[in-house]
Amino acid sequence: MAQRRAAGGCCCPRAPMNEDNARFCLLAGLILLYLLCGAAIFSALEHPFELRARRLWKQQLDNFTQRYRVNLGALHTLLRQYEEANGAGIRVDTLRPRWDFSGAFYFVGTVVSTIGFGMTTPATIAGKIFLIFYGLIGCAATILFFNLFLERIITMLAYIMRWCHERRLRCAGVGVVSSREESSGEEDSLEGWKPSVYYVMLILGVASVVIACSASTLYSSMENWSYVDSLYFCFVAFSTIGFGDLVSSQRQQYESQEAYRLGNCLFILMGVCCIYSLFNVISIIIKQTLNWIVGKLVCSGRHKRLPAHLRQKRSVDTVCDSETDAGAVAVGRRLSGEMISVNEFMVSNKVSLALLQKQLSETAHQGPRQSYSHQNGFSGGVGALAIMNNRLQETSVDR
Amino acid sequence: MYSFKMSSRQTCPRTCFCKHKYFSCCCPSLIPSRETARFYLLFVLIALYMLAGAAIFSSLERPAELQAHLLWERRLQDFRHEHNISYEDLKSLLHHYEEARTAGIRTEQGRALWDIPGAFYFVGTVVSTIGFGVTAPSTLTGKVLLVFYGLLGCSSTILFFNLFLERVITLLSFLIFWCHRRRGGHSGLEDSDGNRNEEWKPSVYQVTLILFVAVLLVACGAASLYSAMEGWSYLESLYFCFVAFSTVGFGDFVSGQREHHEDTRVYQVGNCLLMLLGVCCTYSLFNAISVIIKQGLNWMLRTLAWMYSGICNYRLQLRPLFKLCFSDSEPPKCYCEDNNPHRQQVQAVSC
Repeated sequence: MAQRRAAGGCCCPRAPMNEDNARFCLLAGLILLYLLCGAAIFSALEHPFELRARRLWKQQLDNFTQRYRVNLGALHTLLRQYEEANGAGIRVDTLRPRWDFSGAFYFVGTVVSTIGFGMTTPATIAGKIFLIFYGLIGCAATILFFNLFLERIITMLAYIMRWCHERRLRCAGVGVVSSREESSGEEDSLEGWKPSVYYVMLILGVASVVIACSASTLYSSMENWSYVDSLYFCFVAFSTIGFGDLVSSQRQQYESQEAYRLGNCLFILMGVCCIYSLFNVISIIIKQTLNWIVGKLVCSGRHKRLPAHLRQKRSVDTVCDSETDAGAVAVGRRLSGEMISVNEFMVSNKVSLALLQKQLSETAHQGPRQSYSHQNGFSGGVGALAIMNNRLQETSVDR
Repeated sequence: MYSFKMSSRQTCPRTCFCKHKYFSCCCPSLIPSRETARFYLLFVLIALYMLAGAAIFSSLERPAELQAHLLWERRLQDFRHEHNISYEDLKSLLHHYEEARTAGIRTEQGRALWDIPGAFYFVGTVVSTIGFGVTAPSTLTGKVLLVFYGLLGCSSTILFFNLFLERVITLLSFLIFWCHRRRGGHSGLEDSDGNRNEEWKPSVYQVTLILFVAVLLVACGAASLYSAMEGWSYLESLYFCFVAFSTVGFGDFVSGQREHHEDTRVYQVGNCLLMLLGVCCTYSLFNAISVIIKQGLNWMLRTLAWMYSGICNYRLQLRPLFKLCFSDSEPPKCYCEDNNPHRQQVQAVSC
């Protein structure tokens, strides 16, 4: 560790802790700035429309009260009752039942995927309480599902890379046997194959666009939305934002209803998987940019090399920044680069490493202690960053 | 294409039996790798979970829905008869009202939706993917802009949550290490394993428990604030806290929408900060729980594989002379029994 850092010409040993915190704070600041700009732009775009809509509604209300000589208070009471009915899912045009089995399934789907359209919400107290406990497990499992999906995508791409390489070797006349002998197991042979994050982003982006466009054609034909509205709905649903202003499959009757409902389900599932993975992959790129910025700020004078080469072939030269890159780990499967600081703290305080032997693993059938860092639940890390850790060119470090 | 996932670095210990030797009739090419199997298993389990949830929610909520329908029908009829208005005209008014609702208008005068603070709240719900829906773009330009804005914003916020998760785990492992150091003193266990134990990590159960307690504290604190300021019951506030912090964001309850609050600015800032803290903690909690679920899946796969090997073994014993899938060119695939310590290597490699 230390020698690597010295070779990279890096700064003081306390830097990793500060750099991570600096990156976190920098990201928070940038997001805040992004939010403020977005607020200004959206406000400028939408505020006139809002004022116009208010005026229009007031006009319609006045027309109505005048025409039928209805007391405004009574009308307001009716409208409030209508709002209440809206909360139970009632609209002027009859919609499909909210809480029959398929409606409840749609609801549960919006809960575990955290989309949360809001067209169906529990009205009873028991429903609300049950929702809290149900959602706790369901959302966690679905987050795991999306993370595993991302992992599968990256593995598939690595597999394709290896296949292309082997095919090239075969075409070039080199025997396949030799490569087969080198790659004794599937996992081993995939170890050196790490797709670039840009490659993954491209594949995911294309997949998302294809799914969104085909879903939009379906929705625009079945729901009579405009194509842009359908695309907007696709984005809002697949990114799990889920406003609820547009919701698919709400009407009582469609032609080929069952097929449409099934298609709706599948599209949303595939779309959310792809967009979630796309978000995570883009976040890697953002993280590298942050590392670069932090590197510029922190190690400005003492850098010997440019940090974070963005395109590497197989292994990344260990530089000051890449150690803190993407929760990048140094040797073996560490939790994150931040653990280095704990190590150093211990070493510097001459704490006996024996204390750290205290095993806190959770599974009952623990074997001998030696590889307990693998048996611990956090081996390989937590979350989507950990999934991509060491599987992409830009997130891998020398072993 | 698939082979049973094994680390090739290990040699086949004696307790293993090789399928190749016994001309296995269980064609190995159909066995997916451990990771693929885990993925499919999780998919099946989530589907079952959703079906069960749908049945339970349906039985809980359906009566209330039917009642609400009856109630609304009755009220509509009463209004019509009282003021002698045709059904069509009333329907058209309600249609107009629905359109007004999508533009954000409510009967009770709420705050403006698209002034700067309102727009800030909106973009906050976008990038965190909560998406209440109280405010949603109505113009075409707004919708198109939202797609591109959301792409970058949601990615950054996911990165923010993931970094927060890493920070929290670092902090927790630090704290737990401190506690153990305090309690353990300098117990005389010698460091015989050398550098391997440098990488001390906390147990996932400890971290999950701590995060759960943290989420509970934030939710209860936030709920008391909301029930005081918004006039909801405490249970409704808790429900709103869960729905917002998990980023589901139905929109049936939304905080900060009433027009008049004493100390409005302070409340709005506090609202934003609480939501931020709540979402971060809940996201971390979900990820920690997902690690536990992943281990559960691994355990299930091991059990299934053990049962599968038992069946294969049984069949092999019954038909030793049948050469059903005999292939000389295949490299021997070693399948190791469950209680073999080398399994842990397998687990580590494929975890």
